[in-house]
Amino acid sequence: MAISFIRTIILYVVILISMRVMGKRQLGELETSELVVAVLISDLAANPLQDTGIPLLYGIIPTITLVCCEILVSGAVIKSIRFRAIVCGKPSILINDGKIVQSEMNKNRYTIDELSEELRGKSITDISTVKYAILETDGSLSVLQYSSELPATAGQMNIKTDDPGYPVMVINNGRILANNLKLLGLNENWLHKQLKQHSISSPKEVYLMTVNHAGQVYLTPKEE
Amino acid sequence: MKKELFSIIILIILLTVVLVNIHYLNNFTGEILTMVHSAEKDALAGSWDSAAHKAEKASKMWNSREAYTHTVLGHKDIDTASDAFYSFLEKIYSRNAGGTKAAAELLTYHLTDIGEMEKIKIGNIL
Repeated sequence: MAISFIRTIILYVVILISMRVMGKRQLGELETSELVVAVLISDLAANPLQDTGIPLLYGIIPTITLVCCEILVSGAVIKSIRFRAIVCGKPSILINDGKIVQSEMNKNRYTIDELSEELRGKSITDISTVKYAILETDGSLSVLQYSSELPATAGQMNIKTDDPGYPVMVINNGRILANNLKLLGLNENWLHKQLKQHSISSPKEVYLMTVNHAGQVYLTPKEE
Repeated sequence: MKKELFSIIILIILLTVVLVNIHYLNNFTGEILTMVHSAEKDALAGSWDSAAHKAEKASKMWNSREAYTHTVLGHKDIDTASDAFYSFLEKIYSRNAGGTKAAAELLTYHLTDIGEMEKIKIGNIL
């Protein structure tokens, strides 16, 4: 047990460092320490399950150890900016004021094709319209276009808009969500009236019904 | 902060548990080894009945902690040690002095190995 305890801590540190060295592109959406835990736990849990000759404690002790390590690391990451930079890295500016920073691209082993692909995923086909592109510590790309390329907002156009508020689900697959109705200040009588207006006799016939704060109803009946 | 403190406490508890386990396992295997060596000594001196009694006692002790050994040790290691026990007993029952010595050596090796593999040593860690 002592060996698996120590091995777990050593493996944790080794993989954490390895993932940091590998860079952000390997991480997908997980932070480094989270990915280490995800990878290790899945393997540690699988071994005692596959081989009954291995005591379950050999899977449990390392898993608990990993979770404790992860809690400590994530706690330290919140407390210390320096520690966060060491464990999670820092965001990298790939496009700075319209210019591609090639040194950062190379450092993160990010190719121009991959950058273009990410931008296309954000509906940007012309790289010259991008003012800033930042590779975040979780591997995602944040993009800010030049203001001239952004669509004008109602505020900029001085147009008054109605805010209908957040649509709240009141019927989910035939079930009435009473708490949500209460939240909107409505009741079941009101709900039944609305259903009648849509020629529906019972909430069980409704697949989805939402109501916003302006009282607008969206309703989808169940398919027969 | 509570979570972090809790994690530190759990890590300390785990470390304590594994250290206690090392100590317990070494004492346990050490006790059995003493009995095995004594049985071997008696056998080589020709006191076969006494040797058989001591070997049986050692075997019983090993089997009595089955729940513990199966929880903390690899089952293959347990089976190997158990096989070595049966071989040791067989040689004593057949009053084979040379065979008893060899079987005792093998059993000593397996039991020592079980105690050693949990020790915090560079060789075990790496």
